[in-house]
Amino acid sequence: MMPALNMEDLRVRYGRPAVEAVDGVSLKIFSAECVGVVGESGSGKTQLFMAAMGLLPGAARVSGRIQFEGNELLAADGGAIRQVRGSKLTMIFQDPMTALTPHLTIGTQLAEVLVTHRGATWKEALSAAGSMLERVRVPEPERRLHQHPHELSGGMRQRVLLAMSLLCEPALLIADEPTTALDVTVQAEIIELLRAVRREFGAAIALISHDLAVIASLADRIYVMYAGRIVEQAAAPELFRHPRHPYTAELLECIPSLTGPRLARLPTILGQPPRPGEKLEACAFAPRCPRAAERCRIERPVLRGPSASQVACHFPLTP
Amino acid sequence: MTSTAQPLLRVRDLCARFGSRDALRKVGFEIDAGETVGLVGESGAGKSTLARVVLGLQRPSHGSVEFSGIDLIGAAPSVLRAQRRNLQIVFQDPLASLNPRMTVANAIAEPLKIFEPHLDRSARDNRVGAMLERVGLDAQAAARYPHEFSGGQCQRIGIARAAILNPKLLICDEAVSSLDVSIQGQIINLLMDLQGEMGMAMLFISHNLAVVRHVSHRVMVIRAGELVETASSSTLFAAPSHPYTKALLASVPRRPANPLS
Repeated sequence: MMPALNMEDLRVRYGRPAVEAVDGVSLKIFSAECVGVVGESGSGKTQLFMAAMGLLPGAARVSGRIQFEGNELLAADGGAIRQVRGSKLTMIFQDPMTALTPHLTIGTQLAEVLVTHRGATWKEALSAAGSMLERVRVPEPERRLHQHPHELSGGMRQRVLLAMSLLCEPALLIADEPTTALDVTVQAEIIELLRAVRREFGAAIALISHDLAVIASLADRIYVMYAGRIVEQAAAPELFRHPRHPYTAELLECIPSLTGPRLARLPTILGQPPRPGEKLEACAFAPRCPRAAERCRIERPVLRGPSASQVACHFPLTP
Repeated sequence: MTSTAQPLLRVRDLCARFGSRDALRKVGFEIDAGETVGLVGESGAGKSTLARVVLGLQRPSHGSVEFSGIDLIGAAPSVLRAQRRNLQIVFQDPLASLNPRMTVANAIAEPLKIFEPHLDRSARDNRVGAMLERVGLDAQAAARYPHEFSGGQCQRIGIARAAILNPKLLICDEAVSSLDVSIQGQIINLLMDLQGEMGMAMLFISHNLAVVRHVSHRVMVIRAGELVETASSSTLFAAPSHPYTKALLASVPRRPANPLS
């Protein structure tokens, strides 16, 4: 089966000497699959997908391959990318306010997508926009069409963006920290809605988050990123039950729990993530890793293993 | 509940308004010396407004704030100023709360210059050096500027600045919310250690229920400016009684299975 999105050895570099924000990442997302990408600030998870969307700043130097539905995106010209972006390949962001234009009505912003990509008339497009708002459970959709972004709550704005991203029936929806800026009760509603989107629209979803609990509630398969690289890839239940990379295991251990005994001290990962541009010839996690040995400081581990479970570690945990 | 010992902080009937909107409605609670009280609620519930009123950064429309038996609302400015050293705060955005043009050493020394002006330079430097070490930053950090540090390190600087006067009450307003999960635990452990050593009380404000659960002795739940439930941390999370608390707890995405235990 051909993946919806296939990235190979993707690199994103800034400046000279080069800072590698994404350092040789290969990643596949199959149709109708929900893939979680987890990592901390600066791990490169957003850069990776901004590269796929063609939204990186001009200073970024991108190399490698990005194939979307069989077409090479990196080699494509602006026009070809614009045809795909916003229709078949869409993205929603953490802050739904800055992703909307403040002085245009919700209706105009939604309808514009269909006018641009589908050649619809404004009248048809507005009516389709209203139905889409209803499908993402926005109450009083007709009234919302005439409202401006500031009149909506954060959760409602995220629903509007979701509606916008679904208008052209995308093959892949990239959701970058879609619930991070929202209150916990609203977060639960958006997670439920994303679940419904998969069911009803059959779109593949790339869910980017720093929050493993959010990823756990949606993803079939998970990539764990650290310092611009993929350090582990596995089916979600497998990853949570038997994490093999020490970083994944420690990250899971760090999440404070709502059940079980209260702890006098919270588990932590020693030290700090590497700073951007810090030279990391070997394993980037070695300075913080309890299992690190001499080899980890000399030789870079590559991601290996059967496609069901891959890890980039010289001394992975055994289930 | 009556106790013979006076609470460190006693807030009664506190109301605050923004225009026609009630930000706080008859909020009342107490915090004992050395106690950590968590405050949870959603955006706009009044968490930060409460912190600001307790600190005297905003006047309430009604009600009283008593700190160590002193009424802070009606207090003369000089009395309020004298109490300020005992009431400190750590904010959410560690970089925005530090002066970008002040070295780390100067930022941490500033409260000492104001409240302990009799200290000579070497005594002050010693206190700052000890504090830096205590919060886990090396001595070279002193001469550097905030932008040279990561978010977690900046928060350590903010904590050092708040703790250097040995406050009796430290308010943490979403102090770990912008930090990565691997760093979050380090900062919380630091706060809990400092509290144990210095015996300070903490008002720990957060939207992260799991963090509040581990940090707090008691937890208060605020909704639309009203405290809807207050209970010990173990009771509130095991057997919430208010429907809103139950709804909040039910919304938290379930933590994946714990692999190492």
